[in-house]
Amino acid sequence: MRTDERLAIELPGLKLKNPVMPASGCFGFGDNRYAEMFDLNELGAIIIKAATLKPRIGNPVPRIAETKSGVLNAVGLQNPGVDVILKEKLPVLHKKYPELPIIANVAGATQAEYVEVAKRLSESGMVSALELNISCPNVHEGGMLFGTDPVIAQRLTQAVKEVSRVPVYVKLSPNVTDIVAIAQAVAAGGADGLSMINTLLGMRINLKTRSPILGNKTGGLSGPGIKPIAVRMIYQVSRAVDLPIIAMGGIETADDVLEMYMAGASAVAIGTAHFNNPTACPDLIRELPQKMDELKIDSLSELITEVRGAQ
Amino acid sequence: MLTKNDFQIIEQQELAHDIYRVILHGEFNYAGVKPGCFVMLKLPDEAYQLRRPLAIAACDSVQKTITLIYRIVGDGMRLLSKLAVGTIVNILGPLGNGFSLENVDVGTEVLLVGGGTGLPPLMMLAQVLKEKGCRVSTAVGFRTASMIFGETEFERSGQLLLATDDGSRGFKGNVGELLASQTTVSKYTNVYACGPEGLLKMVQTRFVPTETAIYLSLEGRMACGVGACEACVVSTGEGTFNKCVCVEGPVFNGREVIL
Repeated sequence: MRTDERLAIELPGLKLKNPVMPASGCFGFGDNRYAEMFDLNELGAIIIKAATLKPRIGNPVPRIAETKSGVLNAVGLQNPGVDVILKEKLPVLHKKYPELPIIANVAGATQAEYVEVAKRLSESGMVSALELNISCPNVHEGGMLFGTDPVIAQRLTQAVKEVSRVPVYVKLSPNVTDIVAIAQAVAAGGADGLSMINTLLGMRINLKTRSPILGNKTGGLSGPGIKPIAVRMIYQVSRAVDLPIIAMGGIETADDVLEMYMAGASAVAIGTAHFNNPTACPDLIRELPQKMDELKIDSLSELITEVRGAQ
Repeated sequence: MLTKNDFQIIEQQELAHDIYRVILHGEFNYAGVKPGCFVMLKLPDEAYQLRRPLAIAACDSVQKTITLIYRIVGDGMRLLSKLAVGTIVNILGPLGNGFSLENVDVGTEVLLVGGGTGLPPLMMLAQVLKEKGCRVSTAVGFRTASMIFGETEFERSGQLLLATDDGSRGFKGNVGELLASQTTVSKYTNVYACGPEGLLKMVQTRFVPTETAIYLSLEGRMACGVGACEACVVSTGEGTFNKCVCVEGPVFNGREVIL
């Protein structure tokens, strides 16, 4: 695929030929059958599935429920654990796509666990950055608890920054009253960037059984229905905190990507859109230049300067 | 090879109460289709964020058609049932491992056990097994007579035993009770089953103590169909990690999978 220089972006630890990457949890470790449908080298980067210290079996099924313009999921950070990821998953991905920047998503039940996982992944030499997951709504210990209290979020960010050899992006939860306060706290903790937003806590009930559809009862809502919330939060945070933002939350089209940029984003991650359109990422990469022509946008980096510089 | 291609609806018919058959014409990897494989169908309405996993009931690589049979279980499937001939829908596939056809030969005794919407993949399987010269018996269960479909197809492939919960047709009771009522029990080389969890558990209970190979096709609520989202998992016992129904199944060894 032709590299369009107008799409190139530089962020801490990440030299991206375009700003489009699959979001964590929607693309495994690049080891699923989506990879048969396009060359992963086309991607700007990939954010791999969350890693925890020990293997996690995840939540009981059903783990997924559809809602109009959205999807609820409660997978519960199922993953084989950081050891297997370092031994089996990352080397395969890195060897197959040596030019593809990898962002590793880090999760844990305790601060010590986050620190240990972050340390090991960042020392692997295979990841360009970490995404600190303080916002998973589907686990009962850790997860979102770290992302809803500014003091705890700052302390965790600081502790991870002390051990990490690569830049750290903190993934924020929208399930808070004031996301700016959390963003400021992780910035004070030394975060190199933010990624936002994670899913919104939701629930659906089965009318026949009269009980929640999801095995975990609650789940995280994603998809185009949450996009306006993401746009609003990115807009607020980008005006208060001087950190680059990887935007996510219902992005499906090139218009959505540019809307996120105009809110204050520097790159975008695609999640739910894959399920209807497995080639959502390469499609966006192809559509972006044309949309930029229409809107008279010379380059994405100029757009960032224009939006963030004006703040 | 996995593709997402546009297919055109060339036939749409109600087979029984709330049960529809849609025949689609289009290009994909027909050579890769085995009985038990499925596709993910994208509904032509952007409000639906998830494709629907549907088993392939028949497949014609010459005419380039696939047949899907589905029950109206929600708004999405109702929408599909209202799509007219000529409508284009997008198909991701073929997906899944399909039923094992190992150890089947001329004269091999095989049993197919199905209930409700578990029947479509067994319809394709019955035909393939018959072509291989197997002696095919099928035991199927429905809630009531108005929901029966697939009779002709299964009868064409061999013996059909039919049960309805309310006794409005055939044996009164479920498929498990139907099988238990049989006075002469054949020694099956393979048993293949697809249907509700209770039916699959019954097949396990009945055949695990025997030498019959057991193949169970599972349903799972899934988002991706390709092993990316890890929503449709099933356990295969202690010391093993969760398996994805979409890529490591939907057909599993009935002696390994824990329902």
